Amino acid sequence: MQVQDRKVGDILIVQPLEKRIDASVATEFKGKMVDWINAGNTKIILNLANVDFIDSSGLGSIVSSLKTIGDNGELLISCIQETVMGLFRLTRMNRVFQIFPSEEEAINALSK
Amino acid sequence: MPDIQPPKKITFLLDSRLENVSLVGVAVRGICSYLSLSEVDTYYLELCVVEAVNNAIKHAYNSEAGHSVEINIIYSGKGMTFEISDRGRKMDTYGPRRLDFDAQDLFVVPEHGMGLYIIDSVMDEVTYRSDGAKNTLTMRKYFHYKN
Repeated sequence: MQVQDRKVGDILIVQPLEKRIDASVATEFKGKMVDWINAGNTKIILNLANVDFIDSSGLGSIVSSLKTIGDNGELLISCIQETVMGLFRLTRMNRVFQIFPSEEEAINALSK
Repeated sequence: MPDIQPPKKITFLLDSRLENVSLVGVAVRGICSYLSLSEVDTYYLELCVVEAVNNAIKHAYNSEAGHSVEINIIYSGKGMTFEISDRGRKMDTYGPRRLDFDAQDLFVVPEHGMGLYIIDSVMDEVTYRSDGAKNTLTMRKYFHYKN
Protein backbone atom coordinates (compact mmCIF):
# COMPACT_ATOMS: atom_id res chain seq x y z
CA MET A 1 0.00 0.00 0.00
CA GLN A 2 1.42 3.38 -0.99
CA VAL A 3 1.21 6.08 1.65
CA GLN A 4 2.86 9.49 1.42
CA ASP A 5 4.22 11.06 4.60
CA ARG A 6 5.49 14.61 5.01
CA LYS A 7 6.21 16.99 7.85
CA VAL A 8 4.69 20.41 8.43
CA GLY A 9 6.61 21.68 11.43
CA ASP A 10 6.19 19.03 14.11
CA ILE A 11 3.04 17.65 12.46
CA LEU A 12 3.20 14.47 10.38
CA ILE A 13 0.79 14.39 7.42
CA VAL A 14 -0.06 10.84 6.33
CA GLN A 15 -1.83 10.57 2.99
CA PRO A 16 -2.75 7.21 1.44
CA LEU A 17 -2.18 7.38 -2.31
CA GLU A 18 -4.56 4.54 -3.03
CA LYS A 19 -8.34 4.63 -3.20
CA ARG A 20 -9.08 1.83 -0.77
CA ILE A 21 -8.24 1.03 2.83
CA ASP A 22 -9.76 -2.43 3.09
CA ALA A 23 -9.13 -5.82 4.66
CA SER A 24 -6.39 -6.63 2.14
CA VAL A 25 -4.21 -3.70 3.28
CA ALA A 26 -5.49 -2.96 6.81
CA THR A 27 -2.67 -4.82 8.61
CA GLU A 28 0.01 -3.16 6.47
CA PHE A 29 -1.53 0.28 6.96
CA LYS A 30 -1.78 -0.21 10.73
CA GLY A 31 1.88 -1.31 10.78
CA LYS A 32 2.99 1.86 8.99
CA MET A 33 1.00 4.04 11.39
CA VAL A 34 2.43 2.26 14.44
CA ASP A 35 5.96 2.71 13.03
CA TRP A 36 5.41 6.47 12.63
CA ILE A 37 3.97 6.74 16.15
CA ASN A 38 6.81 4.69 17.65
CA ALA A 39 9.29 6.93 15.81
CA GLY A 40 8.10 9.79 18.03
CA ASN A 41 5.38 11.44 15.96
CA THR A 42 2.76 12.72 18.39
CA LYS A 43 0.79 15.01 16.08
CA ILE A 44 -0.56 13.20 13.05
CA ILE A 45 -3.09 14.19 10.41
CA LEU A 46 -4.54 11.40 8.28
CA ASN A 47 -5.46 13.02 4.96
CA LEU A 48 -8.09 10.82 3.27
CA ALA A 49 -8.52 12.93 0.13
CA ASN A 50 -7.62 10.06 -2.21
CA VAL A 51 -9.59 7.38 -0.37
CA ASP A 52 -13.05 6.58 -1.71
CA PHE A 53 -13.62 3.27 0.09
CA ILE A 54 -12.93 2.06 3.62
CA ASP A 55 -14.36 -1.18 5.02
CA SER A 56 -14.66 -2.18 8.68
CA SER A 57 -11.15 -3.68 8.69
CA GLY A 58 -9.70 -0.45 7.31
CA LEU A 59 -11.67 1.52 9.86
CA GLY A 60 -10.40 -0.81 12.58
CA SER A 61 -6.81 -0.08 11.54
CA ILE A 62 -7.45 3.66 11.93
CA VAL A 63 -9.06 3.11 15.35
CA SER A 64 -6.08 0.97 16.33
CA SER A 65 -3.73 3.81 15.32
CA LEU A 66 -5.68 6.23 17.49
CA LYS A 67 -5.42 3.83 20.43
CA THR A 68 -1.68 3.44 19.85
CA ILE A 69 -1.11 7.18 20.03
CA GLY A 70 -3.50 7.32 23.01
CA ASP A 71 -2.94 10.13 25.48
CA ASN A 72 0.57 10.75 24.17
CA GLY A 73 -0.54 12.69 21.12
CA GLU A 74 -3.30 13.42 18.63
CA LEU A 75 -4.50 11.79 15.43
CA LEU A 76 -6.81 13.95 13.34
CA ILE A 77 -8.57 13.17 10.08
CA SER A 78 -8.93 15.59 7.17
CA CYS A 79 -10.37 15.75 3.65
CA ILE A 80 -12.72 12.80 4.13
CA GLN A 81 -15.06 12.07 1.23
CA GLU A 82 -18.80 12.20 1.93
CA THR A 83 -19.31 8.51 1.16
CA VAL A 84 -16.54 7.45 3.56
CA MET A 85 -17.95 9.88 6.14
CA GLY A 86 -21.12 7.79 5.93
CA LEU A 87 -19.20 4.82 7.34
CA PHE A 88 -17.89 6.96 10.21
CA ARG A 89 -21.45 8.09 11.00
CA LEU A 90 -22.90 4.59 10.68
CA THR A 91 -20.39 3.22 13.19
CA ARG A 92 -20.45 6.42 15.32
CA MET A 93 -16.71 6.88 14.76
CA ASN A 94 -17.47 10.51 13.86
CA ARG A 95 -17.82 10.96 17.63
CA VAL A 96 -14.46 9.31 18.31
CA PHE A 97 -12.28 11.17 15.79
CA GLN A 98 -11.72 14.87 15.25
CA ILE A 99 -12.52 15.31 11.54
CA PHE A 100 -11.73 18.48 9.55
CA PRO A 101 -12.84 19.43 6.03
CA SER A 102 -9.34 20.55 4.99
CA GLU A 103 -5.75 19.75 5.88
CA GLU A 104 -5.17 23.42 6.69
CA GLU A 105 -7.95 23.42 9.31
CA ALA A 106 -6.53 20.27 10.87
CA ILE A 107 -3.04 21.84 10.99
CA ASN A 108 -4.50 24.95 12.63
CA ALA A 109 -6.26 22.79 15.24
CA LEU A 110 -3.01 21.01 16.10
CA SER A 111 -1.02 24.25 16.17
CA LYS A 112 -3.14 25.85 18.92
CA MET B 1 -37.74 2.50 -12.81
CA PRO B 2 -40.83 0.36 -13.58
CA ASP B 3 -41.90 -2.20 -10.98
CA ILE B 4 -42.71 -4.81 -13.65
CA GLN B 5 -39.06 -5.29 -14.57
CA PRO B 6 -38.24 -9.02 -14.31
CA PRO B 7 -35.39 -9.89 -11.92
CA LYS B 8 -31.92 -10.12 -13.42
CA LYS B 9 -29.14 -12.17 -11.89
CA ILE B 10 -25.37 -12.15 -12.15
CA THR B 11 -23.06 -14.67 -10.43
CA PHE B 12 -19.40 -14.35 -9.51
CA LEU B 13 -17.04 -16.99 -8.20
CA LEU B 14 -14.15 -15.55 -6.23
CA ASP B 15 -11.05 -17.28 -4.94
CA SER B 16 -10.79 -16.76 -1.17
CA ARG B 17 -8.12 -14.06 -1.16
CA LEU B 18 -8.77 -10.69 0.46
CA GLU B 19 -6.95 -8.93 -2.38
CA ASN B 20 -9.66 -10.21 -4.77
CA VAL B 21 -12.55 -8.66 -2.85
CA SER B 22 -12.19 -5.23 -4.46
CA LEU B 23 -13.16 -6.86 -7.77
CA VAL B 24 -16.59 -7.65 -6.33
CA GLY B 25 -16.78 -4.06 -5.14
CA VAL B 26 -16.14 -2.81 -8.65
CA ALA B 27 -18.92 -5.08 -9.95
CA VAL B 28 -21.39 -3.83 -7.33
CA ARG B 29 -20.52 -0.24 -8.19
CA GLY B 30 -21.10 -0.95 -11.87
CA ILE B 31 -24.53 -2.46 -11.27
CA CYS B 32 -25.50 0.39 -8.93
CA SER B 33 -24.41 2.90 -11.55
CA TYR B 34 -26.54 1.06 -14.15
CA LEU B 35 -29.48 1.37 -11.74
CA SER B 36 -28.76 5.10 -11.21
CA LEU B 37 -28.38 4.70 -7.44
CA SER B 38 -26.83 7.57 -5.49
CA GLU B 39 -23.14 7.58 -4.56
CA VAL B 40 -23.99 7.10 -0.88
CA ASP B 41 -26.37 4.17 -1.54
CA THR B 42 -23.78 2.64 -3.87
CA TYR B 43 -21.08 2.92 -1.20
CA TYR B 44 -23.29 1.28 1.44
CA LEU B 45 -24.24 -1.63 -0.84
CA GLU B 46 -20.63 -2.18 -1.91
CA LEU B 47 -19.60 -2.02 1.75
CA CYS B 48 -22.12 -4.70 2.77
CA VAL B 49 -21.07 -7.07 0.00
CA VAL B 50 -17.38 -6.51 0.80
CA GLU B 51 -18.04 -7.14 4.51
CA ALA B 52 -19.94 -10.36 3.75
CA VAL B 53 -17.23 -11.66 1.41
CA ASN B 54 -14.49 -10.68 3.89
CA ASN B 55 -16.35 -12.62 6.60
CA ALA B 56 -16.57 -15.70 4.38
CA ILE B 57 -12.83 -15.56 3.61
CA LYS B 58 -11.69 -14.78 7.16
CA HIS B 59 -14.07 -16.92 9.19
CA ALA B 60 -15.41 -19.69 6.94
CA TYR B 61 -12.03 -20.32 5.28
CA ASN B 62 -9.74 -18.98 8.03
CA SER B 63 -8.09 -16.67 5.45
CA GLU B 64 -6.89 -19.66 3.45
CA ALA B 65 -6.70 -19.18 -0.32
CA GLY B 66 -7.91 -21.75 -2.81
CA HIS B 67 -11.59 -21.88 -1.83
CA SER B 68 -14.57 -20.42 -3.62
CA VAL B 69 -16.90 -17.66 -2.50
CA GLU B 70 -20.02 -17.42 -4.65
CA ILE B 71 -21.74 -14.08 -5.03
CA ASN B 72 -25.19 -13.83 -6.60
CA ILE B 73 -26.57 -10.38 -7.28
CA ILE B 74 -30.24 -10.26 -8.21
CA TYR B 75 -31.94 -6.99 -9.04
CA SER B 76 -35.38 -5.90 -10.11
CA GLY B 77 -37.48 -2.77 -9.97
CA LYS B 78 -38.21 -3.54 -6.32
CA GLY B 79 -34.66 -3.82 -5.02
CA MET B 80 -31.47 -5.81 -4.88
CA THR B 81 -30.64 -9.16 -3.29
CA PHE B 82 -27.10 -10.30 -2.56
CA GLU B 83 -26.37 -13.94 -1.76
CA ILE B 84 -22.87 -14.68 -0.45
CA SER B 85 -22.10 -18.41 -0.18
CA ASP B 86 -19.17 -20.43 1.07
CA ARG B 87 -18.47 -24.08 1.83
CA GLY B 88 -16.34 -23.54 4.91
CA ARG B 89 -17.01 -23.32 8.63
CA LYS B 90 -20.49 -22.02 9.35
CA MET B 91 -21.25 -19.19 11.73
CA ASP B 92 -22.25 -20.45 15.18
CA THR B 93 -25.13 -18.06 15.48
CA TYR B 94 -26.44 -15.25 13.39
CA GLY B 95 -28.54 -12.43 14.76
CA PRO B 96 -28.75 -8.66 14.76
CA ARG B 97 -25.52 -7.09 15.98
CA ARG B 98 -25.24 -4.09 18.25
CA LEU B 99 -22.49 -1.53 18.42
CA ASP B 100 -22.70 0.00 21.86
CA PHE B 101 -19.68 1.84 23.16
CA ASP B 102 -18.78 5.02 24.98
CA ALA B 103 -17.18 7.28 22.37
CA GLN B 104 -15.36 9.14 25.16
CA ASP B 105 -13.58 6.00 26.36
CA LEU B 106 -11.01 5.22 23.69
CA PHE B 107 -10.15 1.79 25.03
CA VAL B 108 -13.67 0.42 24.52
CA VAL B 109 -13.97 1.71 20.95
CA PRO B 110 -14.17 -1.41 18.74
CA GLU B 111 -11.48 -2.30 16.23
CA HIS B 112 -13.19 -5.52 15.09
CA GLY B 113 -16.64 -7.02 14.80
CA MET B 114 -18.29 -4.13 12.98
CA GLY B 115 -19.00 -5.90 9.68
CA LEU B 116 -22.24 -7.66 10.62
CA TYR B 117 -23.46 -4.55 12.43
CA ILE B 118 -22.94 -2.55 9.22
CA ILE B 119 -24.81 -5.16 7.19
CA ASP B 120 -27.72 -5.22 9.65
CA SER B 121 -27.88 -1.43 9.71
CA VAL B 122 -27.86 -0.92 5.95
CA MET B 123 -29.93 -3.84 4.68
CA ASP B 124 -33.72 -4.27 4.99
CA GLU B 125 -33.54 -8.05 5.44
CA VAL B 126 -30.65 -10.33 6.35
CA THR B 127 -30.86 -14.10 6.70
CA TYR B 128 -28.23 -16.80 7.16
CA ARG B 129 -28.73 -20.45 6.40
CA SER B 130 -26.50 -23.48 6.31
CA ASP B 131 -27.36 -26.91 4.93
CA GLY B 132 -24.21 -28.44 6.36
CA ALA B 133 -22.20 -28.10 3.17
CA LYS B 134 -23.05 -24.63 1.95
CA ASN B 135 -23.52 -21.47 4.02
CA THR B 136 -25.38 -18.52 2.54
CA LEU B 137 -25.83 -14.99 3.82
CA THR B 138 -28.72 -13.32 1.99
CA MET B 139 -29.07 -9.54 2.13
CA ARG B 140 -31.98 -7.61 0.66
CA LYS B 141 -32.29 -3.90 0.05
CA TYR B 142 -35.54 -2.47 -1.28
CA PHE B 143 -35.65 0.64 -3.40
CA HIS B 144 -37.65 3.41 -1.79
CA TYR B 145 -39.07 5.84 -4.30
CA LYS B 146 -40.59 9.20 -3.55
CA ASN B 147 -43.93 9.72 -5.35
